[in-house]
Amino acid sequence: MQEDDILDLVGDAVIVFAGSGEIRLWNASAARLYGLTADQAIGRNLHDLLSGHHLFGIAALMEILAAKGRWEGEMRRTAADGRVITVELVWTLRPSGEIVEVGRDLAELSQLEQDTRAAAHRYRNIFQAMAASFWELDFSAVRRMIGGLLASGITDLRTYFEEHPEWIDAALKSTRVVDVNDATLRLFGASSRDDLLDRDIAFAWPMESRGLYAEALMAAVERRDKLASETVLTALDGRRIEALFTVCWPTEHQARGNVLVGVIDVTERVAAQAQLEQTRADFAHASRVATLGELTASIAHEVNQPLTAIAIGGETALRWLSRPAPDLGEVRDLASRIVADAQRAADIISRIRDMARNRAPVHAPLSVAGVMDEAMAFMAGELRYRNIMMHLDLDAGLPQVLCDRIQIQQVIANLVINASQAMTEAATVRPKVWITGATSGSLVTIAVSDNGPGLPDSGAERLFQGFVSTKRGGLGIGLSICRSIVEAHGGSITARNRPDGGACFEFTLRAGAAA
Amino acid sequence: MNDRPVIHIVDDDVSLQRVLESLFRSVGLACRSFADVQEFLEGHDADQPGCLILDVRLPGVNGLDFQSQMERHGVSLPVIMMTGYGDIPISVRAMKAGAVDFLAKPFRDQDMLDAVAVAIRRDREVRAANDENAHAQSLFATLTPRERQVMEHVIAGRLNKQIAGDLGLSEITIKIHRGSMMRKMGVRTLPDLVRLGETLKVLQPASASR
Repeated sequence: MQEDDILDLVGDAVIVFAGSGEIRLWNASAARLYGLTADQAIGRNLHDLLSGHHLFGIAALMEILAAKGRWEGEMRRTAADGRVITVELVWTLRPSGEIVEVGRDLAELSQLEQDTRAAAHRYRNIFQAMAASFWELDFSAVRRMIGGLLASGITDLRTYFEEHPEWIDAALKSTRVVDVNDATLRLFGASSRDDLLDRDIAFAWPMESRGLYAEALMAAVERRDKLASETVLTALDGRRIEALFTVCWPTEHQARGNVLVGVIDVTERVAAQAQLEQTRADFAHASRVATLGELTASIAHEVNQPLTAIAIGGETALRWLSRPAPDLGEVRDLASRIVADAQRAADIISRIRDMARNRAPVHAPLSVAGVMDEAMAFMAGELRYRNIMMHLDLDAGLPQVLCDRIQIQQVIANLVINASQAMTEAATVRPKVWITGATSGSLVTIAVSDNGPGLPDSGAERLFQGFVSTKRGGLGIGLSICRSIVEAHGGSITARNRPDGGACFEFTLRAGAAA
Repeated sequence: MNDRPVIHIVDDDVSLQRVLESLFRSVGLACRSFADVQEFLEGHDADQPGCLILDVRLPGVNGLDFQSQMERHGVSLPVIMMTGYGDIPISVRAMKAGAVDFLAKPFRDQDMLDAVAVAIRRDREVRAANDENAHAQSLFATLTPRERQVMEHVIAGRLNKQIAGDLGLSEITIKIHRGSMMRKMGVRTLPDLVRLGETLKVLQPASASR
């Protein structure tokens, strides 16, 4: 047959065999390699004839072939003269069910070529076999775009990227997919490689994550060899993927301008973390509501003050107006006082609503003085109600702290309420509570002190355990919530008796301008 | 001494102070505001008639404690208590301790004006009684010891002859002392003297304790 003649010209050993292993075609190179003529080979079982050996077994290779239509790898075979040779094979499944084998004797390759092939093979194996999603991307167009920017005189690329989201979008649209592995198909919801190959990657990058793409570009420009960060990517079906994103520039790919990207799905871990955060926030919220319950009397008292002033002010204004000669000066004063008192009442309500609301904690850099002033305003009514003096003494120049405003104010409120209740119960003479703030290294220490009866004998550590209360009707969750909140902020909380009487609770917060 | 009553407001809420001041001005009443008890004690004029509006919850000494210490501080003004939410049991104590009225915040302007009217009237009555007593005391102070003895006996209903016997004096001497005593006390008839004597007697324990 003419076809057979052509195949005899090929340097590689070409064999066609059936699924059963029966040899159908055997070219001249195969005859040379294995020491058997076509006549001797055709009709025989390939695997028996050459004692083919592979670590996984022939049956496993046939399964891979059936699933993917292609297998490539190395195999040990025995030639007719008894020589054991290692051949590099590529199997391709034809629609007829026959398999085309193209093989080479590895011994015939130069050592360098063998090493290169082994490395490439290992790379392919890792690329394909890892559970992580891998992408090989063609980055050359983006490199040219960056080169263009630099050539046009732009030196601060980072700022340029921040200010030109449309450029980032164009770069994403110019980054093309060269190859992906199976894990990528699963993670990104592709039904086949064709869904992803040779397309751009803009779809996978939601706006919120594009900063990281820009950062990856910076890493490339600055010749960092890799970058890893958590981010959010988008699947083909629009699903959000919480991902650990890594990118590296393998030296062997540099010439081609290709980069290797790995994506590990951390959606579940992130979800579990979020669930934990939510539970913690829920507990903190429950504790806040309980705190508000304890403050009902003083809150009602506090709201009553402006309400009374508003009511009397309004009635008095009407009196002035109904005079034969209305005194508009008095009416004006009263009206502005009414407005101020309405605002005062609204502020109280707003502080209470902040405390009562259940919301996810927001960690932001805040001034200690600002947070403490608000906490004091919140507690002022209660302390006035109980006739307790309170003052705030913060060191000058405290750094900002990274915290959730409401939760930290909750901690303060809890500690202050505990102090004031203990002092009321013990009928402390001239009761007072004071809050100090000091900085040491990267920590800010906030202390809430009182001159009350001090800590119970059961010990300071026991105080922070849940459901331990020294108060009548106390749930005993306040301090354990305080500890949970402080620890979630990366700090710690301790309690001790002051040498000259009274208790002191101290907690730390991390200084920091931004995350 | 100024006879125009002054309303003393003791409340640490400046806003409430101002609107109450305006309210009292609108009905022509004078008033003064104080942030706490100490400020009131230092700043008020004890001789000024009027009344005292106290908030139950005050910084430092609270209204209720102050009410029980007022006499010690020489303050006799009638008290109107203002109370907030949850202070009703305390208000009852305030009433028992002699407050004219208690007003739960928020209250109506008319309720406050009514309470103030009652308080000022009560203050005026007490001051009038005190004035009458003071007048009687000053007259009584001009009597000689003998004249005082005679006065006691006369009020007790004794006749001149009986008094002379009791004191071992002549009836004519008693008559002279009696005439002098009646003149000094500014009375003409026996009933007038008895009434004056009653005023003195009724108020004597209070003046003795001073």
